[in-house]
Amino acid sequence: MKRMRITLLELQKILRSPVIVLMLLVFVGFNLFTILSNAYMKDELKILNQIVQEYGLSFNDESLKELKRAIEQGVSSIDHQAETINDFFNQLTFENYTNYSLDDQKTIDNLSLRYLYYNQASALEERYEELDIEVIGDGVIEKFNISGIAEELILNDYEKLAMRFDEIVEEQEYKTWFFAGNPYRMHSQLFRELMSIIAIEGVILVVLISAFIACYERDNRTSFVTYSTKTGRRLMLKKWYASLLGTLIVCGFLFIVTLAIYFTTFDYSGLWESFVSSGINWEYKFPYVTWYDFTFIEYLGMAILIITTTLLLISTLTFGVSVFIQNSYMATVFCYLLLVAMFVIPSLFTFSSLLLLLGQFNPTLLILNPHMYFNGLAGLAGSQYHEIITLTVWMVISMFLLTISLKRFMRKDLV
Amino acid sequence: MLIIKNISKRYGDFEALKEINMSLENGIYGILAPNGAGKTTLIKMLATLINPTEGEITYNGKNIFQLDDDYRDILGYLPQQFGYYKHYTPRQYLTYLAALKGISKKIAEARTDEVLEMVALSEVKNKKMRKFSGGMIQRVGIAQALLNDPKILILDEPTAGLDPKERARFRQILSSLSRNRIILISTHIVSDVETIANEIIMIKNKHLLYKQDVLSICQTLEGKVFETVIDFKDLANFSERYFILGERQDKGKTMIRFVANEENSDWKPITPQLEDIFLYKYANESTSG
Repeated sequence: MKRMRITLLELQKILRSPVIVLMLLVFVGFNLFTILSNAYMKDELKILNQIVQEYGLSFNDESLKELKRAIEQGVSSIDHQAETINDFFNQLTFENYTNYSLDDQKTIDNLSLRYLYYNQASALEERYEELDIEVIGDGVIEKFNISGIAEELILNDYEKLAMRFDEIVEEQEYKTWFFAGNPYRMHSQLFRELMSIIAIEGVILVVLISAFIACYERDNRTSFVTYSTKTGRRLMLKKWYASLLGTLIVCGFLFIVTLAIYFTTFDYSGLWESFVSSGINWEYKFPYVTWYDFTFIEYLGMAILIITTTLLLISTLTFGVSVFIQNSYMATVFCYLLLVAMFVIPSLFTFSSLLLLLGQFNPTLLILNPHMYFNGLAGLAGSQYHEIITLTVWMVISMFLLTISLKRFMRKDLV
Repeated sequence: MLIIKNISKRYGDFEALKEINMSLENGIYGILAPNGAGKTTLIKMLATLINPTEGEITYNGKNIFQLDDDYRDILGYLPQQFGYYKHYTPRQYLTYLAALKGISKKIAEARTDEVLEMVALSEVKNKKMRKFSGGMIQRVGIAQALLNDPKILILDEPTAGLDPKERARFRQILSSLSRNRIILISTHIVSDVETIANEIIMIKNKHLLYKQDVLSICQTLEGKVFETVIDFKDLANFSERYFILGERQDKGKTMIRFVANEENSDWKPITPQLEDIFLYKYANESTSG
């Protein structure tokens, strides 16, 4: 604690900044609004937890039969004349529906949702049989006009992904219950929308924090006093530690508050152990084919870890730039532009397949695509170690820049 | 002992200081020089904020830049433009600086109160500094410089913003501290150092002009400073021939104080003061700030 004293005092400067506190509160408010705007479907989603409770997290032919039987019984308890479930729902017009009592209407809603899950689950085997991962890989190569080494790398990845896909099928990993990808798209809602928003908010705050604390003495005209003390210019190193701690605290606050609201609104109680590669989670053209057999809770943890690590490296990068420029406004704008450029520039590399592929390994894409982490079918960004390579390479780059900046700062004249 | 050996500083083609040599022992040193003479550059070098282009500064035989934090541990520095955190109280700010100065938390609290008492800020130690006057801020600056009980105390324009009473108190504090430390005061207000400095350092055109006690410096104009009364209409003619140090209008006549290399029975010879030397040596140079 004694060694941390100066770092904690620097951290105090960050946490006492009205701009940062205000922005943090505005962001939490915005996240709350985003969550509540989708809250209308929270009651429907609860049905899945009932199914999981009754039939278990995984499903097979036997449990699906039981589910179907229960739906049939439910249907006949409401309409004795209906021969099949299909007959019942086919004849169920709005007028018919409103003729039932409120209790019956609730039962019908429950049954229709159960039937939706039953239908999706029982169609999965056929849908998965139709998928050919290597053909999808060829499609990617054709779509982006990839050739040379990049083509080889991608084909190699898809070859490995095909093996992983076979494993998912063989191990029945895809046969675990999850919120129906179509229509609810809960994976996208949580990771593509909410987590990405948190990550972007994190970037905005982290860049501000790092530039703010790195240039604090210059902005307050206290450089001469602080850097002539015993600690001297090593203070800048402590400021970096403080900016990392500030990043963790601010992002931790954003994650904890936002996710607490989210999981209080939407009931995931039975689904923590469900696989992200569940076929029920199939939202768009392809299902999620994750490189590793991540359960939902593991994936959530990994997403938080990746976003936090990305923010820490953006913090380091910004800090390095700020120490070099020594102007918080310019450093902030420069870093925001740099991150936007990382999003735009890879798409300009159409002239070189390799550059186009390498361009995918950048922190901005990690920030924008939490729903695609570890997903083999993420186009050019689907390689097995995409996240690890991106984080490692950029961590090295940002540490290198920071080291150069700090070394220069230690020697330079403070005028 | 602090020794400045052949120090020069260049910024590209611009020469800020040239071949400065001096040694400083315990006592008070007043650096007198107009703006741009290089005194702040010299002071910043002594505070390790600027690296010399040539030469070296040693403390007890070791280069201060190599001594690094061991040197800064015994250094107290008040820069010319003293910055502070507006939303901090003096106590919070000094507690922060105490941490940077390596003062333990336990000692810091008592020492902070002690130095705030010295500069008469105890009553406002828990008030935000944003509402402080220039003089109060300057006193916070002096307090922070004294915080680590420095062996080398460097004060750049310390009396800026202080009223006469505060100046007198400040001089008193310095006198009481000077026995066992080196105190370097950079100023363009001669009266700040005239009575308390053991030696005056004068820098002109980037070079060291004098490093002597007040008496020795004043002796350089001995027998050359006079007072006389002339008609106002003759003043222009007079100032072309002699260097005017000061003038005062009195009942249609002009009383002037001036430097001359000759004697005249109408002129009254007077003892030169440090201010006379300052004005004479820095004629045609700005003396502001």
